[in-house]
Amino acid sequence: MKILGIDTSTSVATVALATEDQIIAEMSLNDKRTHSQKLMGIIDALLKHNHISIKDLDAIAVGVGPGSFTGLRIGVTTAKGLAHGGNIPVIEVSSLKALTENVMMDCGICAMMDARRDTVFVDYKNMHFEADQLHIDEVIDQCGEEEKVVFVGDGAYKHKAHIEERLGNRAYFAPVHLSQVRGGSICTLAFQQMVHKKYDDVQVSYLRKSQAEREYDDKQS
Amino acid sequence: MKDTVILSIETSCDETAAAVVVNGRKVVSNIVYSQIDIHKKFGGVVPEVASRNHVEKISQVVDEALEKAEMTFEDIDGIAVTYGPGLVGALLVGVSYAKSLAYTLDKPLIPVNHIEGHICANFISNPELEPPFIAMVVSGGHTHIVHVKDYGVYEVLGKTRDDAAGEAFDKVARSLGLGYPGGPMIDKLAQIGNKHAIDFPRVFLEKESLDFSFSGIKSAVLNYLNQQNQKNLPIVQEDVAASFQQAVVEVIATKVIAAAEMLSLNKIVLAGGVAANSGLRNEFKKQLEGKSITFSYPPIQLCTDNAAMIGSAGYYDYLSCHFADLSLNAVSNLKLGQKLYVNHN
Ligand SMILES: [Zn+2]
Repeated sequence: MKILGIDTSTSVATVALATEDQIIAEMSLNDKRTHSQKLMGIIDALLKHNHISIKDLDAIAVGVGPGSFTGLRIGVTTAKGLAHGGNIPVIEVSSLKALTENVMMDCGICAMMDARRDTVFVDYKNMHFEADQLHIDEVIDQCGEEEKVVFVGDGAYKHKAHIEERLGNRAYFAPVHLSQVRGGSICTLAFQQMVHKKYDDVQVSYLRKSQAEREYDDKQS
Repeated sequence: MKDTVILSIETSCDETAAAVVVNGRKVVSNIVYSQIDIHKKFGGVVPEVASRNHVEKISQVVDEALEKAEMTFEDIDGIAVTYGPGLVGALLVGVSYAKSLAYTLDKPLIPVNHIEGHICANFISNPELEPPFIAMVVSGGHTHIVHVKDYGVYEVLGKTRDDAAGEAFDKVARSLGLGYPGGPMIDKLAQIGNKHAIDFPRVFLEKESLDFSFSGIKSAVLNYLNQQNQKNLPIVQEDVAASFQQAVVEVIATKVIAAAEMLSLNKIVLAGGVAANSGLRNEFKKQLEGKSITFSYPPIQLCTDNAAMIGSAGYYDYLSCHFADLSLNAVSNLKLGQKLYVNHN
């Protein structure tokens, strides 16, 4: 089985081509705001180097969020177009879970994606949080009990000083190369899930209403 | 000659649309999913909400367009997509989709300017129409007098220096409490009101100028409403709408006809959402009486945003091999006649 994995939820556009037991090719560009111009070029390069076309793939895996709204739409819409034209299924993957997937350690792993204004999208020990977007201090409170926590993701790096100040030497930070979403991790998760969707049913997981909708809701209540 | 079939996609504002157009003139399917009801409660188009809905509907409208046309991807010669001007987030959905679809199907990707699309709607509704001619583009975002010199060759002769005509309609509608979208509401009221009731100013700017200014008339309406309120005098909505509309359409028709006569062109067409305005159409007909200038405009479903018009414009760009590569991006402030992506093959 061959899968093409795509993620554009953060400033990194990442693509990988993988089978169940190996990553055949992977490429990431950390160049904010150019996903629209670069993503298809990366996909094309990866496929051409491996002499295969979209139609030879068994599925497209795509990070559906959370993350940058515009970034997610570029990745998800691209995946839908590829799947539609190639008549192949799409596998929805959590971009945040893909970050957790980068680290294998027998301890608490806290994946954090920057969501601006001191808030982060969090994935921590499969815990269920009231809100998906939390203030950084709330997250640290949750991790407080742990003997050792590994932080991963751009949210972790952004708040590194603050986390260290509060958790001291109990806080560990994944190295930079493991701290961004990778196409390979998207593929690994896709192989674990294997929930095939039709291009039409693929949805972005924003985890957050638009500002206009939130303001409208506030006004109503 | 073999027919050329273009699949076209349009997502520049709040309509998710796809169409199949043959040889630039014949529309075999034209699917529009309008988000107007979704945006109503916000009093206008919310870009983030529009973008989200485009993602949900994009593949559905493409499938429906093919189904209605009784075609498959195999029958398509090229994929045309609006890449500007418009809301950047909304445009990106159509562009990302068209790009990946064209790539997978190995079909040429044709980047289309939305405003050029509006003009080309006339090629669909008027099979005899051929350049050169004068096009008046009037919509919520644009007020351009355009010299269409040839297929795909445009020169802007004049444009608004402040508000677009459609914007003025929307603002006046809001001050009259008519809700969103305001343009069609004004037109409806104007049809029963007295257009000579209130003497709003006609702004012609400098002699010879083909530019427009609508901020003055908009303020004049607001002042009038305030004065009536202060004096406790009644406001007849129908008369305000009719008088305002008349002041706007008189200036537009006068300038467009002057442009045609200046260039000795005998064809004028309307384009864009406000081209559906009955007052504008009637004023042109009145001013053109006795002149040997033909005048036409598309039916309403081709005046408002749709993908068929993009398919028509895309066809002529296809003929001139004006294709985009995989780096195609959305350009929210794309200018009319500006071709950013040219084929280097
Ligand atoms: Zn338009």
